[in-house]
Amino acid sequence: MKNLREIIKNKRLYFDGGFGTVVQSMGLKNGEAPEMWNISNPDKVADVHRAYIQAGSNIITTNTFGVNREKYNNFKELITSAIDCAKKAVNGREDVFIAFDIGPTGRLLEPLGDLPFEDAVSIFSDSIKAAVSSGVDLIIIETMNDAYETKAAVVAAKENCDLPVFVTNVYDKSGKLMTGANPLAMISMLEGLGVDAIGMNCSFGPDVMLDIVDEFIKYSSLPIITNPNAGLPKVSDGQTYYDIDEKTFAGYMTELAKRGVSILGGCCGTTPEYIRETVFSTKDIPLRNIEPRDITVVSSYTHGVIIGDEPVLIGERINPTGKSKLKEALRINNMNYILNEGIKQADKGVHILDVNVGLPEIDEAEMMKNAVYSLQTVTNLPLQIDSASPKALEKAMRIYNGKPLINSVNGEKESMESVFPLVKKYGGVVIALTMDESGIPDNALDRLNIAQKIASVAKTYGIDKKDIVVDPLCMAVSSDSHGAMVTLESVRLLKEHGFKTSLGVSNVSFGLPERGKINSTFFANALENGLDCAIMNPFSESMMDVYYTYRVLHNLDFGCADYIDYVSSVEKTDKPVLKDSEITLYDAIVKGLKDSAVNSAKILLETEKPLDIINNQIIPALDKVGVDFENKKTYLPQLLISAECASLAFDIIKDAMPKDSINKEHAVILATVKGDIHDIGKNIVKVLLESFGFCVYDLGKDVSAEKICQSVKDTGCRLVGLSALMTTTVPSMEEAISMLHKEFSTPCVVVGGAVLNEEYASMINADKYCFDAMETVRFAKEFYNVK
Amino acid sequence: MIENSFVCGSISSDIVPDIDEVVARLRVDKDFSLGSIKKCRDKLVKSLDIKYVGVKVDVSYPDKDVSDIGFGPVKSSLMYNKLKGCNKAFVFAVTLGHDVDRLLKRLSVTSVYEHYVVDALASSYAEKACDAAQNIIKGDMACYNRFSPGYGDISLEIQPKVLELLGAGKYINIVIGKNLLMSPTKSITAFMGIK
Repeated sequence: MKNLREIIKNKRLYFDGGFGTVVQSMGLKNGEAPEMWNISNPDKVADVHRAYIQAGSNIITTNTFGVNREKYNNFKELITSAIDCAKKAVNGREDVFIAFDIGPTGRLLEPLGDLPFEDAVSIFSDSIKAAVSSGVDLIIIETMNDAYETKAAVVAAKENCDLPVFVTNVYDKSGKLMTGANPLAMISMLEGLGVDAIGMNCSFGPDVMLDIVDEFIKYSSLPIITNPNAGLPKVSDGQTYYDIDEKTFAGYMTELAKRGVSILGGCCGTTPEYIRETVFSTKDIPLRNIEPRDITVVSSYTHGVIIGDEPVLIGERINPTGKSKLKEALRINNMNYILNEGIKQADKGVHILDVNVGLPEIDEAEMMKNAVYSLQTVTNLPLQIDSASPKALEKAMRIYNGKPLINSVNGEKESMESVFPLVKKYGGVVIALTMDESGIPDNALDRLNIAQKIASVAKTYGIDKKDIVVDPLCMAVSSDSHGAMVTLESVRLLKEHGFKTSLGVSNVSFGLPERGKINSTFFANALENGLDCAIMNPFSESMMDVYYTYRVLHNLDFGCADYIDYVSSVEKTDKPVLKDSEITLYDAIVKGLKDSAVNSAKILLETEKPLDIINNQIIPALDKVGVDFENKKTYLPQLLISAECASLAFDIIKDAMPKDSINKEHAVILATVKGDIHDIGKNIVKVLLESFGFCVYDLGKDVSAEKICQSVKDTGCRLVGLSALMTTTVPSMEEAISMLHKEFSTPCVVVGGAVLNEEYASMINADKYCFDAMETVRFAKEFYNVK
Repeated sequence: MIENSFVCGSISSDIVPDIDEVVARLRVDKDFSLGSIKKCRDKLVKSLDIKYVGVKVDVSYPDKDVSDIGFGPVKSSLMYNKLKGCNKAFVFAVTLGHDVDRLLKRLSVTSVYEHYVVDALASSYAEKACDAAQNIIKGDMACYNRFSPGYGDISLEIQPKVLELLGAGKYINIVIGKNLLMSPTKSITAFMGIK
C-alpha cells in the first residue's frame, strides 16, 4: 500500500515534465488538444509516460490538464482514458504514483471574472469524481494563477476524496499570482485547507523560481514542489522552442534542491531528457528536514498577516451593537454602507477587519456571506468572521478567499463541536474565549486552564495551537473593579504558556464617561503584558497614539518612520469655528469643496433647523449645478463632485433630523439589468437622487427581473430605474419591465443607458426614458410631486 | 519589433495619454482644468501594471470580405478592407491589469466622481498603452492603421480565438467571460496589416 503522505516527508520525488512539448514531436497537429490523444492515440500517451518513468519520474501526471465539463461533453471518457494510459505505463509499480492532473477552468472567478465560486467547485468536483472512480494515487492542482480558483479546486478535492492533494501555482517575476497573492498568502490558505505539498510551476524558468523559493522555505510546514518551464518560448520557422537547455535546467534544479525543495519536475518545454538530467544532478542531495513552522497567520487573497511578531489592529466598526446607522443599513441591505465602513478603517491602517452582522431581524448567515464576499471586492485586508452562529460562520468561511480569523469558539462542548470542524475543513485561526459551562472565571489561572482545555480539544480535530488566539475577556471595570487587572494578568500568563492573545479593548470602559482615556491606558498596559491583537476603533486618536508610540518604544518602527508619518497626518479634531472667510454651504456644493461642505453643514446645524438647511442651501445649490450642466456651462465631473458634497452635507443634516422625517415614500429602486456589468451611469443617478433627498435602494448590477420584483414587494417602492449599457442586455430590461407590469399596478419604470433612446424605450414598454442623471432627478421630483 | 514572431513584455506606467482622448472620455471641453483630477490620475497610475503580447501572422483571403489571420475565416468587410490585401499582419493585446479593476470597484463604493474620472482616464491610458505596444511590436515596419474586434462588423465573437492565438491568458493574464467581455476590463486586442 502506497503511503504517499509519509513518503514525501523522507524521500525526494520527481514529477514528470511537459506533455504538450513531447506529443508535438510525436505528431500532434497544430491546434489539436493533447488530451484528445487519450482516445485517439492511447499507446502514444502511454509511451510518453513510460519515457518519463524511465528518465526517473516517480509521479506521473495524467493527460487531463485541459479537461473539464466546461470544455468537453465527454470529459469523463477523456479522464478515464487518460488514467488507463497512465496505468498501462506504470504497470503496477509501487514506487511510481499516478497524479490526476487538474488545470484551470480557463475562466476567471467572480468578482474579477464571471464564474461563481460554487460553479467552479462543481466543475472540479465532477472531474475529481470521475478520476477517483478510475483509481489514482493523488490529485495535482497545477498552473493556477488565482487564489480563489485554487481554493475551489482544493475544496472540491477534499469533498470528494481522501487522496493526498498537491498544489502548484503560477507566480510572476514579482513573486505574485496574477490576482495578487504572494507565497505567504497561498501557504497560509493551502495549509489551512489541509493540502499535502505546495509550490510553483510554469510561468518562467527555474531561475525566477530561485528568487521566490526562499519564501516557501521560510513559511511553509509542507514539502515544496517546483516544476518550472524550460525558460521562455521562442518561435522560429513556425516551431516553438524554449531557451534553457537540459543541463542548464538541471543546474538550476540542483540549486533549488539545495535550498530545500523536496519534489522536482518540469513544465512547458521540458522533456524526459530534462528530467533525466535533473534526477542525475540532484539524487544525492540530502533532503531538507521539514519542520512545522510555528507561525500564526491569517490571509486575504493577496497577503498574510502574522500574529505574534508585533501588535495587530483589528477594526471593530462593522458591528451593529450600538450603531443605529449600521443596523439600518443591514435591515435595508445597504451593502455600500458596510463597504464604506470597511474602506475607511482600512485607510486608517488596521491590519484585519472584524465583520459582525448579527441582527435578529435579518438572515444573518446570508448577510455574513454577502458582506464577506463584498468586502473582499473592495479591500485586500484579511477579515475576522465574527458570529455566534455556526451557520453564518460556515457560509462565510466557505467563500472566503484566503485564511480567515474566526471569532469565536469557547470552552463549552457545544461550541467546540460546532466550530472546530469548520476550522478543520476551511482553515482559519480561531479566537478562543476563556469561558465554558461554568461561566467566565474570576482569576487568570482558571482562564489559562480553559485555554489549555480548548487547545487540547482542538488538537483532536487536527487543529494546532498555532491556529488558536486566546481572548481572556475584558470585563467592564464599572461593574467589576478587579476586571482589568485580571485580564492583564491573564494576557501575561497566556503569553508565558505559548498562546497568542486578543482582546476587545474598549469593553473595559463600558458604562463610564470619557471612555477613550480608559481604553487607551488599558490598551498600553495590555500591550506591555504581551497582547498580540486588539479589536479596537481605529478612529480613536488616543488608541492609535498608543499603537504608534508602543512600536517606537519597542524598536518596531525603523527610523520612527511610521510614527512620523502618523503624527503628520493626524487631523485636528477641534470644533469647527466659523470664520469671516468661511464659504457658505451653497458655495461649497456649487464649487465641489467636500471639506468645506462638511464643515459648513456642522456649523449651520448650530443655528438653523435641518429642513431649512436642506431647502435653503443644499437643494438650491444642486439646482444651480444641474441647470449649469444642462446648459453646458459645467461638465459631468463637476456635477458629480457637487452631488457628493451635497450627499456628505445631507448625511450630517439627516443625523440631526427626527427619524420619521426621512421620507421613505420618495424612494427609487435602481438596478443594472441581468447580464450587464456596467454601473457607472446607475451610480451617477444614485448619487444625484440621494443628494436631492430621495431614498435609493440600489440593487447593483447584473440583476435578474425576479430580484427587481422582489425588491418592489419588499419595499413598496413605486419608482424603478433600470439601466443597460450593452445592446445584448436590452432584452433583459424588456423582461424586467414585463414582469413588473404584470405583477404590479405600480411601479413606474424609467430607463436609461448608452444603448437606449426614446424609441427603444417605447418598444420595450418602459414608462419613461431619461437621457441623463439630471433628467432622471427631474422626473423623480415630478413623479413624487416634490418641489 | 517582434523577433521570432512572438513578443510580450511590460510598458512603463509613466506613459501620458493624449489630452484630446482624455477630454473626450471625460465628456468635458478643452477648457476643463485637468489639474483638478490630478488626485484621480495619481491613484490610477499607482495601480497600473501594463503588459502586452503580440504575434506576427500570415493572412489569407478565402473569399471576398473574408480574412483568415490564423484561427479560421472571419467574415467582415471592414476587416477585409482594413487589411488591404496584405499577406502578413500583427495581432496583439494590451492590458492595464487587474489592480485597475479593483481600484474602480473600490471607487464605485467611495466616490462616484472619482469612479467616473478614473474610469475615463483608464480608458485613455489603455489607448495610449495600445499605441506604445504597437510601436514596440512593429518597430520600423510600415503598417496600416490598427483596428479591433467589436469595431463595425468585426464581431466580438472572434475575441476568444484572438486571445487564444496570442496566449493572452498565459502571458499577460487576460481572460474572457461568457459575455465576451475581457478581464481585466481595461484590455484591448488589435490587428495591424503589414504593408
